[in-house]
Amino acid sequence: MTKTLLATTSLAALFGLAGAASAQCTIEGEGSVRILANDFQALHAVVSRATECASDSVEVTTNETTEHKDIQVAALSTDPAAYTVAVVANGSLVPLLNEGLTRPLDDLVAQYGQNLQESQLIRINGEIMAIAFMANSQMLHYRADLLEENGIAVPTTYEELLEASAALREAGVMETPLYASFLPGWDLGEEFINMYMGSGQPFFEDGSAQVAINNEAGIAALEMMKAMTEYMGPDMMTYNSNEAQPYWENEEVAFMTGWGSRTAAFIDENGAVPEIAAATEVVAMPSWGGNGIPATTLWWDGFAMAKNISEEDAAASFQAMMYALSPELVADPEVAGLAAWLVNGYEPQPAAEGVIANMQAGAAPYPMTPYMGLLHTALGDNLAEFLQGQESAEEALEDVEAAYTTAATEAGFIQ
Amino acid sequence: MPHRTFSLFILPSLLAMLLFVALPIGSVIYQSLFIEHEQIMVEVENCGPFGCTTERRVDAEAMAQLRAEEPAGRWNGLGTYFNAGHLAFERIGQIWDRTETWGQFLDQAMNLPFYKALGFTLAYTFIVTPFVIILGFCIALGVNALPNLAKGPVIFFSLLPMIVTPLIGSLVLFWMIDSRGIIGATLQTIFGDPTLSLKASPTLTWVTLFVYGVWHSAPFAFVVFYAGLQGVPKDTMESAMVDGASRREQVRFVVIPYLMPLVVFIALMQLMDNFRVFEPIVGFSAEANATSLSYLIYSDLRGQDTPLFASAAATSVLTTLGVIVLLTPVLIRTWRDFNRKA
Amino acid sequence: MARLQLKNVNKRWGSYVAVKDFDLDIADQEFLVLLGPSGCGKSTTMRMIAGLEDVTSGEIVLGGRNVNNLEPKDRDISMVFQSYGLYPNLSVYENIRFPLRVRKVPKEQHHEMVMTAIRMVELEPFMDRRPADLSGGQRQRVALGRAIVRKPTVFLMDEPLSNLDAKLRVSTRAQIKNLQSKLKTTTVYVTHDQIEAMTLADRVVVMNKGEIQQVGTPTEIYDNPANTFVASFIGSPAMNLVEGRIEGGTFTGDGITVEGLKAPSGPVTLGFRAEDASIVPSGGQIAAPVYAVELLGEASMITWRLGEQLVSVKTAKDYRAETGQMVEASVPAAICHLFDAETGKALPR
Repeated sequence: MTKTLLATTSLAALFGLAGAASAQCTIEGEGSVRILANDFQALHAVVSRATECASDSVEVTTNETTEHKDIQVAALSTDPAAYTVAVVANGSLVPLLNEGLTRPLDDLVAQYGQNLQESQLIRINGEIMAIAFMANSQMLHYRADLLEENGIAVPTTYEELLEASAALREAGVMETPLYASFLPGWDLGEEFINMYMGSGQPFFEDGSAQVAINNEAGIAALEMMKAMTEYMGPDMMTYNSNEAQPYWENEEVAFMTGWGSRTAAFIDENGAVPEIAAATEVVAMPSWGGNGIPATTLWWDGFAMAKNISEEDAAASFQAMMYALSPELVADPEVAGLAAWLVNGYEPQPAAEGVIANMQAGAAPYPMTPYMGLLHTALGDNLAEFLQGQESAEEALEDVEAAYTTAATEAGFIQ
Repeated sequence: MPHRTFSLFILPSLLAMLLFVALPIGSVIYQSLFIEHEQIMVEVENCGPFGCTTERRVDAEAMAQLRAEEPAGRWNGLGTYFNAGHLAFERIGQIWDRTETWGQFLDQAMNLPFYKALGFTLAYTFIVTPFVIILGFCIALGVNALPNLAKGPVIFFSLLPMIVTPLIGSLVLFWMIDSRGIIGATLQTIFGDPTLSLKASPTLTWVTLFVYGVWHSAPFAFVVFYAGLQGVPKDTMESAMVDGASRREQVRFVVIPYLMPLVVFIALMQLMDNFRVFEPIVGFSAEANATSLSYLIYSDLRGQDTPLFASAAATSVLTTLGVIVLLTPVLIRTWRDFNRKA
Repeated sequence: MARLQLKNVNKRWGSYVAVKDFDLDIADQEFLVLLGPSGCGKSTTMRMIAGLEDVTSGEIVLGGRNVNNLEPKDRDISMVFQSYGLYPNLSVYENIRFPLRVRKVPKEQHHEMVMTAIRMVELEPFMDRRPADLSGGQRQRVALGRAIVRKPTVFLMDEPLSNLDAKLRVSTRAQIKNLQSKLKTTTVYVTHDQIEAMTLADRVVVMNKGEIQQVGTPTEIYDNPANTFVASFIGSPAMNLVEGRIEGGTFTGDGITVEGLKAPSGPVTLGFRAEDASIVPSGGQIAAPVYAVELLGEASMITWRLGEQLVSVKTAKDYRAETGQMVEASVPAAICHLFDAETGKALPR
């Protein structure tokens, strides 16, 4: 029994590269596959393919939720873990690594990972700890038609972006042409981190957890964000990436810094407003201050596997994910358009152009430092007052530093 | 009642209180005295789709061993209470030294996260509570004066704000006060100011939250008062009518004295509830302009990748102390009344 | 000055008739008592006078002015309620001052007026107390004080003594009588207690089922009840009523025969008061075995069972008889009242 199964899978693996795209999911052995994932379209495409592997001997259960980050540590701490597969991004992998809750995947990659590309393997100290399958970053969405009508060049720097916004306002096209996710909390923190990345300066002092943003680069980044608010709508402090689409489709904004994973919805010509979708294009995020580095962070989405699970479950889960991530996934043009896939067989689509452009222009990944999350939170909580003009940039950064230092001390990173 | 019988009689509720009140509070206090162990860090090379970087990482194995030895964490005493995220004595001292006027000092001190939250929480509590009582009382009087046929539907609609879940209620209002929503756009037209945003201005956000708080809790006061009104002694009411009291004087001399114990009851409930204000802040995405103590606890636990249990526990303890301080005057009064009657 | 007229007043709630064709003229300074069993419409009548209930039809005229559409406070009346209706958060003094306060009587007059009222109801030692710290009788006196303080044209009293115990009732009753004779204010007093009615009233209105049964002085009502309802409601014990027939001036009922009555032949109800009849050794109009002997203290009461009805006669307090013993009573025609057997109305004597 086992031998025949092994034989078939090996054959399938052999033909896999040769394009045996319509292969059924066959998993050798028994086991249980339990997937915890964030909830958005591109991930859903992956997770739903993995569920096709359910059979008499393999059970597949999934939990797709935007709250995944809040439950993953607790869920993987139990023995056996509540989930075998945790779909993570470079930011959310860190808490799992901090607690040592994931297992190295080298053996499984060697055995079942024939379809994987070297760029997909996330190695930490030489060990493969996660498999990436898509890249994501913010990119500049713009209305090509409006720029053309008004003779405005596509901005490559924030300075140009502000000028272009001013030009659109002067031309009477739009009062508030800019949209960026300034909702206090994760969104606002991310906006600052992106902007600060454009300065090329480090977030922390070398070799310690002391924060290093309270400097000229930090103030300049804040001032640039403040300059943007001039061209944003009155409710900008509630803007977030989930709610951008109505503004866009209502022709209230012409520039938006948005996530690649959501771009598909904005350029979908079968959507609610096809003429706007057709005129929507994306480029790399602008740089600022003459540094030439796109002011954004690069993210990957991938999966890690729980440490506290049996070998059978690990093998079954890995195989299910490998089936899900086979070239067949991106053979479906609709799925291919959802994200910048890192999967074998993927041909870049418009939605991925921005990410690739960012990479090529030298953008850096979101830091995987364990205390980055604490800084992100401190930023998200303390910058709103500055943007609303109630505080100076220095005061705001001082607040951030105090909040971060308090949290990092409590968490044991600073003594 | 013999002591033995009395003890047996209250034993179950005592046990339940111990289990569900005393123990959790005790564990929260204990938790607030410890912080996470010192993290043991190692440098590692991370490689992925965007190339390789050298980054610091927590040595999970070494940490696991530390935690196994001392599961509660590192003893910090009252350190968490005094740190910059809470009472912030050190920062208050710095601010005191560098500011010249009281105005500046208060302005900067109120910018500290704990005091900022405390400020809003107290403002919310002391503005919403009286308005809830007054508005609830007025609605109750109004409904009570309606013909019987109209009472049912009016009561139902008056209760709607309470029936609607706080989160949903605040979300509905949130969209209405959007600068393109019905209320927000109307206000912009009235004041002729296209940049007017109820969501952006801190003052307007506070006002919005207060209005929402009153809107949400008034039905509670209304129901209690309405029930109370049904019991207003008819003879006394009619005496007042014959004696020549106007409607207002009837309310002042008969209805209000009769409902006074209910006012105390509602004030108590509302003080407790409003001091723990939380949902509207989330619902209105108002965290930029208004944070409450409960919101601080929430953000300590949910804001980052790893929950800050000590911070959350310390804020919880401080909130509990706040509720106790707040209720003490009312409780002392009730106690005195009780003794006087006995 | 303060004549109170009720002209054909009716009160209906839907199809239920609470007061029917109430027509009465109350003279200035008169003490009028509305008497009747509960639910007879007496309280409703008073509440219509006070303005606490609307009049369905008819007219209420006070001091020559139609007050149908006036608010209670504009009718210049004051009212005392069964359960006092005091303001629990005000002291005795303030309770009594309340009507002056809300009627905007000049402040400087308050103290004197309140003290006069307080003295009249003898509450000086208690004037700083709250109602909760007073006894029932004291509370009712506060209510009285509050009613008299501003010297209204009409007092209305709705069963003011019903919540008091028997002893207190007697003394407060006397106090009310005394107050009224001093103040000489037109008073309408509602009660279901016929003794209160007899002792207090200048005139009594007996009501039943929303209709006036009889209006008259206490003596008239006692001596000449207009119908069997009044006869059975007034007096203690109530009038004995026996059903029977008259043939040629002789009434015959179960165990009773009375001669010499002036009435046409036919079925009638015969009534007489227990205190008017007497026990005789022989030749009495009643001759029957004794049903019960009750000692009342100042007298004894002998009861017979005549057919369906019980008939009682009062006699000397030392009279003794055994149950079942044959006893005779004298019921001369002179003490007898005759009522129409069908309508219950009194027949002319």
